[in-house]
Amino acid sequence: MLLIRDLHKTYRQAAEPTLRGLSLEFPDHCIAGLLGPNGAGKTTTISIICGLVRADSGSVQVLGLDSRTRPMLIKKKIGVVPQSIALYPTLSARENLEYIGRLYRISGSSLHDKIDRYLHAFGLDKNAHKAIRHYSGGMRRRANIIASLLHDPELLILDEPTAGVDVQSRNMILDFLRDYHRQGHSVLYTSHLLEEAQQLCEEVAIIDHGALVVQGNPAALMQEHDCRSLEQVFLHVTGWGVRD
Amino acid sequence: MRVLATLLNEWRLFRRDLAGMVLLFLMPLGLTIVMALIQDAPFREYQDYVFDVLWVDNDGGPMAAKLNEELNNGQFRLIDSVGGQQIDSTRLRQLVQSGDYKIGIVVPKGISAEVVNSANQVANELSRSTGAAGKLPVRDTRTLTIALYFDPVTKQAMKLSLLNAIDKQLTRTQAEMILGRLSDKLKSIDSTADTPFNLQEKLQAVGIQEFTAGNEKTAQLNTNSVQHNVPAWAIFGLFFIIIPIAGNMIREREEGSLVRLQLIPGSYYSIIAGKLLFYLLLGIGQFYAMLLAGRLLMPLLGLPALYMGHAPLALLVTVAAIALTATAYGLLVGALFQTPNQALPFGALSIVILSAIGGIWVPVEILPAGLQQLARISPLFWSLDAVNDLFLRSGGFSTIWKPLCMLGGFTLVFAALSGWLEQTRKR
Repeated sequence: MLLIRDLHKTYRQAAEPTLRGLSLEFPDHCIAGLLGPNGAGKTTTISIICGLVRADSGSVQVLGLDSRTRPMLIKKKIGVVPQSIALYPTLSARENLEYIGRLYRISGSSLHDKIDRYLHAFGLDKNAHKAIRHYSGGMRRRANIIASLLHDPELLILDEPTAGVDVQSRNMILDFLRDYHRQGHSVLYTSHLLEEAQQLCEEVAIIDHGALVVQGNPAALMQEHDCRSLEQVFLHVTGWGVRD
Repeated sequence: MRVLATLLNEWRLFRRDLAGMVLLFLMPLGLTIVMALIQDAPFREYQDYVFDVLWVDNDGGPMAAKLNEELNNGQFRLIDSVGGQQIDSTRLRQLVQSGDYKIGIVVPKGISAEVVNSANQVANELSRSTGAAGKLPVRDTRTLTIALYFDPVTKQAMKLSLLNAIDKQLTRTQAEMILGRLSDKLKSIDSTADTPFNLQEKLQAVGIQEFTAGNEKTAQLNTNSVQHNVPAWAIFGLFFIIIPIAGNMIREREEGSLVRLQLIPGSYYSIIAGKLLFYLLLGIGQFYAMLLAGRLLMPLLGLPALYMGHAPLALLVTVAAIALTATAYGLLVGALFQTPNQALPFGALSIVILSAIGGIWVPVEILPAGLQQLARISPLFWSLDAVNDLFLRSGGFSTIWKPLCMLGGFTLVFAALSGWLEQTRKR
């Protein structure tokens, strides 16, 4: 589902490059985790995949499509859940979803059915008319995910989808991702919660300083590095030093 | 569909922003009403406002009477007694000095006799040169002066107005007396003429009449407080649309909804177009609300009703062009700054500055030459110029094409700069 080759990116006025020849590959129809400490380059990588940021060099293929030549088609096939709550806080969940759906050129009963179905699936149907700013953190995260699902993306990319949510909301989100994957979709996900990634992901890539450190199945990586958890693998390969 | 969806979404966002609604509609309306009321008196000062002028007549003759009649017949009301008591020149000076009255006039004793003496001298000179009989009584010429007293706060324009009125009346009365004497002399020379020869009538061959270089309607229309303030402050208020535009752009960036919009396939320009269209319609609605207030509300407050010209389509196009320019400027301010704390004060202050140099506060014509040239860099100058063309000069499309082109140019520059800044940020 994702093939990245020798990706480089240095932001203007940045002292150091953010990505230094990152290369990795995730197979089709899997739940993949892109992991790394703060400043490793995860969000930049996702931003390049989505077409929000231009890479200085290197190549990205998403679902077999080159990101430089087919950016619009890629956008149609992927759904991105940004780390921030990318919704209008003064509008209700339903109003936000109606607008986003129409921008994806979905309308009428098709749009309303989808909105109803996802609001129900994420437990937001009773608060559908409430402004997002009055939602709890968990409710906002769930609404943020729904907004990325309306166009039935083949690949769902989530940047820290469970950050700052309670256990119940997190379980609901993770259960949904497993169901979504079972329906034949691919999922790429970033998180600092390594126990969660260990449970959820079939394949993980740990990156640091803008380059790949290790990649593989979580169980295989634990065995390879003689660790009892993915977190130990992570600390083993990225070090114990605190990152800014 | 994306354009309409964005337009609907902007309406939903705006509907929930009560403060924004107040800022865009009620505050400009309040400002327009307050400014029209405040400036009503200064505008009337030169039109139909009547000023009290203290009057002491030490002459008691026909010259003083004519002067009194002339001045009392228009902008000034002559007062010769205060508190039931006739005033003299000493009391007049006291009352003006204390500021109770702004102007005082003291007519000296003998002014009528002096004018008659001058007229007799001219008539005698004519008799001597033509050989006509008879000589009118004369004596040596004396110079008498009418004393004017002004409160220091009296405006220069008011002083000039009074001086001109007195000077005009003095000249006219002296001329009439001289012409009367000459006419009598001519009749005495040719006593056989059937019809008396009217010299005064013959010398009134050339007169002055004021015309307005517009149609009949605008000829009746004097510049008044409403006619100046309503369009001017409506334009000022319309440009304040940049506050919600820039604020929303920055909020979208900060809250992340911009990222969501950029992730959706399709041209982002269709979303921008939807936003532009919404604010364009909002600006047009706001401007017409102000004009409607000028038309219907101002008369209820004792002010004249706004006259809106005779080219409604040209007005609509002009308002749309102004709203588009304001919207594009809002996009530029939103793209230029990272936070609302930077953008909003800059946006508001820049509008105040552009309005000041653009003739919103005071007419550009009275600014120094350098500032008059500088005014042309302000889109508010061209906005007001176009509206004045339509309202005061009875213009149409043929007269507003230049300001419309300038507004179009501003819109393109603002939009291009805004797009370039957004692209730069993306990199």
